[in-house]
Amino acid sequence: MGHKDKKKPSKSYGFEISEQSNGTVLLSISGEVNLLNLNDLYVEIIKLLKESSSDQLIKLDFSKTHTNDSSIAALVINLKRKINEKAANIEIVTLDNTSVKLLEFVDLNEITEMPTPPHYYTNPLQLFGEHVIEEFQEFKDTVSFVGRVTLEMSWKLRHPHRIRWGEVVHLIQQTGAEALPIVALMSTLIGLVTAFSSAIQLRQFGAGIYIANLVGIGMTREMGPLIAAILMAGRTGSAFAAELGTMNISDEVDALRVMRIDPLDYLVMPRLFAVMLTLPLLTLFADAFGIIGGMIVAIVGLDISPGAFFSQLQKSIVLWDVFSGVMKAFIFGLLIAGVGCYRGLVTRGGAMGVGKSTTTSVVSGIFLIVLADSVFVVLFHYLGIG
Amino acid sequence: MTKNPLISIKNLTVRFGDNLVLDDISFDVYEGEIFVILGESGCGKTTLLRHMLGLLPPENGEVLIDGVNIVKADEKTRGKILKNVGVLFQSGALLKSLTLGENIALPLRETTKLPKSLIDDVIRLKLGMVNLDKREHLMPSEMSGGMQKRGGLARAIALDPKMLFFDEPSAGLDPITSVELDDLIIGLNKNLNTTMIVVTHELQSIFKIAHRTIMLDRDSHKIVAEGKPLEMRDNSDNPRVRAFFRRENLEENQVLK
Ligand SMILES: Nc1ncnc2c1ncn2[C@@H]1O[C@H](COP(=O)(O)OP(=O)(O)OP(=O)(O)O)[C@@H](O)[C@H]1O
Ligand SMILES: [Mg+2]
Repeated sequence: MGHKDKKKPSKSYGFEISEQSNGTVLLSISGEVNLLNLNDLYVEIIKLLKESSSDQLIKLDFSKTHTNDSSIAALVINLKRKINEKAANIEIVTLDNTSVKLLEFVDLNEITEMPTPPHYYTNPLQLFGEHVIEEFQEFKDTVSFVGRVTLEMSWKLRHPHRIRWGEVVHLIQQTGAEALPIVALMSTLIGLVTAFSSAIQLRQFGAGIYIANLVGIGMTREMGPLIAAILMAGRTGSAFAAELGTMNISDEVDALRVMRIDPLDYLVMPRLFAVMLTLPLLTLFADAFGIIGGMIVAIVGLDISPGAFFSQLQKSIVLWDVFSGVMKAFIFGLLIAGVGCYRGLVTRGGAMGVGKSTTTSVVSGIFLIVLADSVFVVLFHYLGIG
Repeated sequence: MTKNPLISIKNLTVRFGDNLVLDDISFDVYEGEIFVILGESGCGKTTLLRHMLGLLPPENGEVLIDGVNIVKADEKTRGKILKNVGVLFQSGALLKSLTLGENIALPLRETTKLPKSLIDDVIRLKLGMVNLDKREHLMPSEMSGGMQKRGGLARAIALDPKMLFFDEPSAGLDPITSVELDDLIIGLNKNLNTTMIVVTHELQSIFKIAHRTIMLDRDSHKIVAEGKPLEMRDNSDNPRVRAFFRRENLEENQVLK
């Protein structure tokens, strides 16, 4: 076998050009060709093709070469395609033994053809249009799934013994208890930041005490439910999508179906109940920690005593403020769990599909939360209870 | 064998996007039969099974089980049909969040009112049948591929259904276990008169268990042959079918031009 010098691979083969009397060029390659030095050979052949006139026949002789890999076979496929496309006037006279054997495994005509990639639209406008239609359809499907799930849930509530409470409790632990630290941290920080950025303005007018109103109302009505819901979408909605998506692509969901166990019943309902029970509680938790964050700013930055802060807080927020936030959280929970489970159940296409579902569940979860929140604002306003 | 087919496929056409998989396929399966579906990898055997179970909607055609069209059936009717059906998926499809025992208990708990102790005994019986004795506490992630497959089989036969669908039951099993599996299939068929629809490539297994087979073709998307395996091997006028049964390479003599 030829020497294997990785630094100077091009030296291991010879390249001999001879012009015959009828104008044909004979190219005789000798020595070892491998995948490392193939490129140099390829470049020289292409150069030769460019230099020769189009009616000049180029004969390639590989009889003096030897190879231990697919390099020459790949070269033959490449040249064969050029011949088929009439881009080259080449004839392969003889081939080395290894490459002959390797090429026996395949149908040369079949593999020199390039497969046409499916759905290859070059028109960006069409692509955009298709994308819009697809997104719209997906949005419709998501909403109608959430609707179906709500109907099923109301049936379950009338038959509470059919709910798998064991699973619900387990999921509450996962989605609620384990989320407490991060919810506490986030809402404290957001309470701090909100209070701090308004403290300076309020102090200018000597209205420092109103920090309690600001943080109290802001947290209970808007920030508390939103912080809890967005964290829930990121932690739990995505987990549901990934879990159910993985089950789906490994036939587990179909296995449930043929055992006459409705995946909606077995997989979706417990998750829905868990999140709808947990999120309102997490919201109260977020409210409390957000207010604590505000209080820290009041005490440290505005010299307001905790007692004064609390009595002002008591005067400023009414029960409805807290209750409306909790009510919103209830709906947010439905949306988060619904979207997460839906994305999981429609997952297609292997590990990449699971990844895509997980991402989409978070993005559309948060979008639906914000959309629902806007609807609530308008609704409360017109009902005169905002 | 009775005269009326238990399962009847009529003009089934399946397409995924632009990809035609099954083109106008019709066949019958009779009660008590072991019916084997053959064909090259990717020709649509799993897809056919999914459609026979009503898991996917076809582009066209009917799947009649016990005279009911499962394609058009509502949830309730489909449930009634599936009550008589057990399925082993190609991947085993054990629920990964449950132990092996709980997986087998699942159909038993959903369908019967048996007390836990009896359910446990049924589980032990079925696990014994697939040589997984005392493994009920394992999680699927702690089992090998072949073990998961046998676990899926135990779950499929948990309720002793009238019809069993197996997608490549012996793929990934060693020869000894495969033979035992064949014996189990034949035994269930003889003793409980279970109708079996089996997708398999194992030649020895086909000759041993199959009463009748169909062979799907990847290029024409149709059934290229139907009948008893031995007759198909010896008498088929289709070289592809003969090559399949004799384990020959059709392109053996093809040389580079
Ligand atoms: N969900 C799907 N979406 C799109 N195409 C699919 C889907 N499922 C299967 N196919 C296509 O249908 C064809 C048949 O697939 P199927 O899984 O039924 O093959 P098979 O005969 O079971 O093969 P194997 O013996 O390898 O299991 C393949 O070409 C596959 O690409
Ligand atoms: Mg398959």
